[in-house]
Amino acid sequence: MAISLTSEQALALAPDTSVASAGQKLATGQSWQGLGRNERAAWGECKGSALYQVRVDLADLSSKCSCPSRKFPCKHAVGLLLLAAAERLPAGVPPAWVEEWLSRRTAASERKAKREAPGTQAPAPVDPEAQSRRAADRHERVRQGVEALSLWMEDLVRQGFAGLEAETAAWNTQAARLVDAQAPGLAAQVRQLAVLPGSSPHWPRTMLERLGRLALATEGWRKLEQLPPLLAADLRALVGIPLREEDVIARGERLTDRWVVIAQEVEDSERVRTQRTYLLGTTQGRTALLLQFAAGPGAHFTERFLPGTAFDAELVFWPSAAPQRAKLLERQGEVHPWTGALPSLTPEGLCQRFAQELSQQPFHEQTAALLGQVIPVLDAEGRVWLQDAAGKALRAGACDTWRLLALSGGHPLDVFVEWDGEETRPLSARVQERLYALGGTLQ
Amino acid sequence: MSDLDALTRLATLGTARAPEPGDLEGIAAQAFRALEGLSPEKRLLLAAGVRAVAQAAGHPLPQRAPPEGAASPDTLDVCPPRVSALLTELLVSHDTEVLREGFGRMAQARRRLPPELLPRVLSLQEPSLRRAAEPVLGERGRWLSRLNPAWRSFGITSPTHLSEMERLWTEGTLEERCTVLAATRLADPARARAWLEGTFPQEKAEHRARFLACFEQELSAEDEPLLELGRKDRSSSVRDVARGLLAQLPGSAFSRRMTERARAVLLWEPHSGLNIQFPARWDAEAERDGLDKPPPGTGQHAHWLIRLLACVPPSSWEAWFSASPERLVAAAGRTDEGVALSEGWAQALRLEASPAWAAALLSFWPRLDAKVLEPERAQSLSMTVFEHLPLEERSSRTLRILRGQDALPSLERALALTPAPWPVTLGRAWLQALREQDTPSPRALALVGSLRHAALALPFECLEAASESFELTSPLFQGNPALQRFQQTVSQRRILHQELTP
Repeated sequence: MAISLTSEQALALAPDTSVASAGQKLATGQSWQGLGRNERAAWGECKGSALYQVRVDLADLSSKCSCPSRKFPCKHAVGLLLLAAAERLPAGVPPAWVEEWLSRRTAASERKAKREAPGTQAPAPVDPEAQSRRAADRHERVRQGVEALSLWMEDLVRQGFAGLEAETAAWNTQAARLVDAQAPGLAAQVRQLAVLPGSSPHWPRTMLERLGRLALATEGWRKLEQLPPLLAADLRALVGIPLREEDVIARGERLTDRWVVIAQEVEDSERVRTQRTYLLGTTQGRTALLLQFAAGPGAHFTERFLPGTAFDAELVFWPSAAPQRAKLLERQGEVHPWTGALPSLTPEGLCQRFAQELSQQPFHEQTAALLGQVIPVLDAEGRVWLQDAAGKALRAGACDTWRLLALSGGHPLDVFVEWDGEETRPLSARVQERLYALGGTLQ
Repeated sequence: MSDLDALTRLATLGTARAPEPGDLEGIAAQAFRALEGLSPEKRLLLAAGVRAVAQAAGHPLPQRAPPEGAASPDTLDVCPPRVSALLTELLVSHDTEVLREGFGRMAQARRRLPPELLPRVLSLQEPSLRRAAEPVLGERGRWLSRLNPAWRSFGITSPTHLSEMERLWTEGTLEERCTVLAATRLADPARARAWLEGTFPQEKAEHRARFLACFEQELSAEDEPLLELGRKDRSSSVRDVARGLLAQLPGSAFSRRMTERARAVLLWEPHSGLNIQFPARWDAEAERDGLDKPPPGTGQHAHWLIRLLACVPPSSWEAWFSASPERLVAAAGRTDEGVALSEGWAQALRLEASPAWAAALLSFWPRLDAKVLEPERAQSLSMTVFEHLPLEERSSRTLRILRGQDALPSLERALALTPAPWPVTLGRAWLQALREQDTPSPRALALVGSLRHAALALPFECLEAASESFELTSPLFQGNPALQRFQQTVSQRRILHQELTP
């Protein structure tokens, strides 16, 4: 069964807004000839400066076009996706240039599967001695960075926050030191502190809480060897020491389920484009966060996940005392739209789960889950609450509030949220088996 | 600083100044005790960290009262998915015209907007779009619009409260004042008149003219005193507006005076035709009635004739002279002032539509020599006539022009002046004519120039034919963005038609 795609979803696949709008202009039958689709693919020839052959694999929405555009998917592919979304493509038999491409793709994914199958390939030769020397070097540098951070934080509270407001350079200097010490995770946390002074009436308390949690981490780092292995792995991740994917695959927890793509957002920074995709396991109720990175704005992600669809797959989770980040090992079977039930939590249940996770992993910043049958309510101050039938309510933070309210109409609906212990961040809502984005890129 | 908790107070002051936190409570106190022996800074930081984690884990959930007032169940069905996909596209590209048509078709088909599109639609600013969207909001949309102060006015096409209208009239900008005056004019003509009478002398000349122009709606004999004020205004633009309106009141003193004068000037002798005879001098009122000095380039007599004839319904001449429009127009052509007479009659069509007069005038002007009637003036005269033709008559005239059976106004202008929806015959003929073009002739350019208007005006019966691909090699069409936009609009309208036929 082929994916049922909405125009919004098709537009969301465009690498930037100019491609999205150019794609829209091409979303009329007139620019095309030989349009068609079957269960697997959609295709057509688009009249541009030349006649371009455009094809889309509906299994994962990968596309290929014969045009010279460096953007991907190009406007022709977006146009074709929009036509597919609007059900304006006649059913047909794919021409040879589509068939060839599809069979090449099938062959490539089989080769990849074979290559990645365990035991088929010898691991690259490593020099264990050099490796452990490098690890020891790095550990020492991080240790020095963490010690310096610790002293610096103690200085902050010794002198008091009262004089902090005018400072800015100090944060950057400290963050740069942590980068030099190969602790980029801590550096990022310090950079986030820089905006706090003066940002709200309660900023000193927020600052103290952040510093306090950071102090727990630096204190933990001193006792890394004594920590349970999973918690130590969490601490390494927090500090910013990456785990190689082969180590994740070798050591991480594996879980097979039917996964629904429940929310997705893309963040663009100067150099890196990050896609955060949340999967929800339909039978076991586990949530998994898939992170994908692409260099530079407009770059594309190698794997595509379409919100609202489901697939069977084995995931492997990053080693953690409260596993969240995961990697897709292998998709089994086809991607298909998901209309069935989904495991959900009550507001109370979400708080309990987060408490449980924090007791395992105190550095955990947030958890994500589907809240079942909550009503978004606007209070007199203009804040939105997600409230269950018993009246238990969670505050909803930044999202497309009006869309959330419109989708609900004052009636209960399922909302997928991130929860940090204080506020939820609604990412998507599900009404009558359809999923709607509430933030991120699907605006 | 007294409302700070003890740990935060300590951190704000600095442990160098205040080494002890004072009274601590709960988990902070426990942690602080457990960390005894560490430096004050470390104790403070770690205790704060422990408390932060404990609070994130133990967040008490507020208990709120059950929400009230969910949206009522909708009686209209939501629009089909293809329509909602199309609306999303149109909202993104801000295609106002097709959007307006889409809302209209949905209303006819008794469908409503899907909830996810409501915030975008409720945020639309353009008044005509808001009016069009109102019937398709559904219960959900009305419920939502009450939650957002910026949306509450949705569906109220004019401010409902009289006091608000009056406030806008006294305090608003020129545009707002025109809008409320015109709206009040429709609902309560006497009130609108009273408003304007109250401020008329203090308004600027340009504003007086704009406000007075609003009185064309619901014009009645009761407006005559105010219009008389305008007729005597010191500004000529106000006088023009006032005279134009007075002429539309057959019983007005102005109208009667102009009719009498016109009858005295234009004489009919069945054998020799029309005869023009001006009095030696006009009475004192005449100049104020518009029989003043002509604008540059117009003769004195021509100016007077145009002004006089513009105030007399053309059918009156048929009755007085017992002659047909063709005969009268032909007779005018034999006088020295044929063009002026024809212009007067053309303007008089504003008072009463008359296809017979329009036909006579439109076939008269092309016969004149370019030295007698410059082509540009012929165009503008023919457009005056065209604008005052009933719609049906106008589209059949346009069809004649398209077929080359008529010359005035030009094809491009005739098409532009024929509003949507075009009759099927016109739509088919236009499409066929367009497809026949392959060189950039004036006719081809006129047809290309009308692409946008045609995309919106073609009747649904023609859309299928219009969406067939153009196999044209001419540089006129190749890669022409206007043609691409035409085809996009046609295919969008086609979806609306297919999905929303009631």
